[in-house]
Amino acid sequence: MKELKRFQAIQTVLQYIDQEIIIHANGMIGRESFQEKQRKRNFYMIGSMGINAFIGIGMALSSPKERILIFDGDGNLIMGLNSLCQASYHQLHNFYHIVFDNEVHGSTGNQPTISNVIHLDKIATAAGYRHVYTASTKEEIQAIMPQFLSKKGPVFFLIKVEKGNVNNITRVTLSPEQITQQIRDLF
Amino acid sequence: MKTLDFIQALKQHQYDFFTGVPCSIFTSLIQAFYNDSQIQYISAPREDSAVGMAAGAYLAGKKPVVLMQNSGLGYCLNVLTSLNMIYKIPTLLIVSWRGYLGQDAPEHIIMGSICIKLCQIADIPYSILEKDHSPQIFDSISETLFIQGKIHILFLREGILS
Repeated sequence: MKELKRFQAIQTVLQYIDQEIIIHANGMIGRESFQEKQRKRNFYMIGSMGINAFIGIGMALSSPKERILIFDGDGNLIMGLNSLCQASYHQLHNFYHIVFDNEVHGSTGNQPTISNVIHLDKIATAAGYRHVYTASTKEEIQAIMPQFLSKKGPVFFLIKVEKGNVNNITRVTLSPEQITQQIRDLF
Repeated sequence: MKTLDFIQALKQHQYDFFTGVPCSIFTSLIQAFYNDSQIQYISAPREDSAVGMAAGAYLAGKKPVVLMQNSGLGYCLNVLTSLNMIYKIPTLLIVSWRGYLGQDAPEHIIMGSICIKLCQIADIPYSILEKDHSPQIFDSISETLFIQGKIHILFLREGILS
C-alpha cells in the first residue's frame, strides 16, 4: 500500500528546485504546487490536458540554456504519450520530466487511469530517455532528486503516490494571461 | 505568391519557430524549410502537440508558425480555446484547405465545408491566401498576432503557392 501523498511528494521535490522553469499539468498537480510555493518560474496549465509536456519541449528547444522541468500526471502523460517520443527524439539535454502517478484522474472523481498496469517508466526507457528513475517514498525522492537534476536530459522520474487530494486546495489565482506574462518576463 | 517569397516574408516578420504536420499541399513549402539553413522545421506527432510546442516556443520569446492540414484543426480546437486564446499565446497557423468547394476525397469533404465557419464561430482571426496577394498581407497578420496577442489562421488552397 502506498503511503506517499502527492502533496508531500510535490513539497519534497520542490525543496531541490532552483532555477528550473516548471511546466505544470492541469488539475491538482498545478494547484498543490501553487499552494506550496508560487514561483515566477512556474507555468500552470488549466486546460489542454496532455499538452503540457509539449509546451516544455517547445520551450526547451527554444532556450537551450534554461532547464525545463515538467510536473506531469499519469492521466496527462497517457493522453499526451507521444511527448515521450518527441522529447527523446531531440535528446533534449535540458528536459526533466517528473510524473506524479496516482493511477487515477484526481480532478474528476478519482476514476482509474491505466498506469497501474502500463508502466510509464518502462515506456520512457523504451522511448530513449537518457535516465529513468522511480520512487514511492519520501526518502527515495530525497535520494534521487540530486542525481535526477544533475544528469543531462532528457531524464524521467516516476513518483508513485496514493490517490487523494488536499482538502480545500487553492485554485491557481493567477489569470492565464498573468501566467503567460510571468514566463515571458523571464526571457 | 512564390514559395520562396512566402518564406522570405515569414523571415522578414521574424517568425523563428516552425513546426507542424504535413499536407501534400505543403510539399514544396516544407521541402524549402528543410533546405533553408536558417529554419529548423520540427515534425510534430499530431497537430495539437505542434500547437503545444509552438506555445512553449512563444513563452520562450519566439514567434511560432504551425503548419497543418485543415483536418488537424479538429484536433487543435481544445488547445486553441483552452490555451492559446485564454493565455494570449499568439501563433500563426498555416492551414491547408482540403475539401474546398466539396471537391476532394471523402474524408475531407465535411471539414472542407466547415473550417471557415469553425473560425467564425470560435472568433478566430483568419484569412485566405489568394494567388495575387503580395507578402504585405503579413503586415496585418503580424499586427493581429503580436500587437493583439491573438492567433491567426492563414488558409492555403492547392495551387496558391507556386
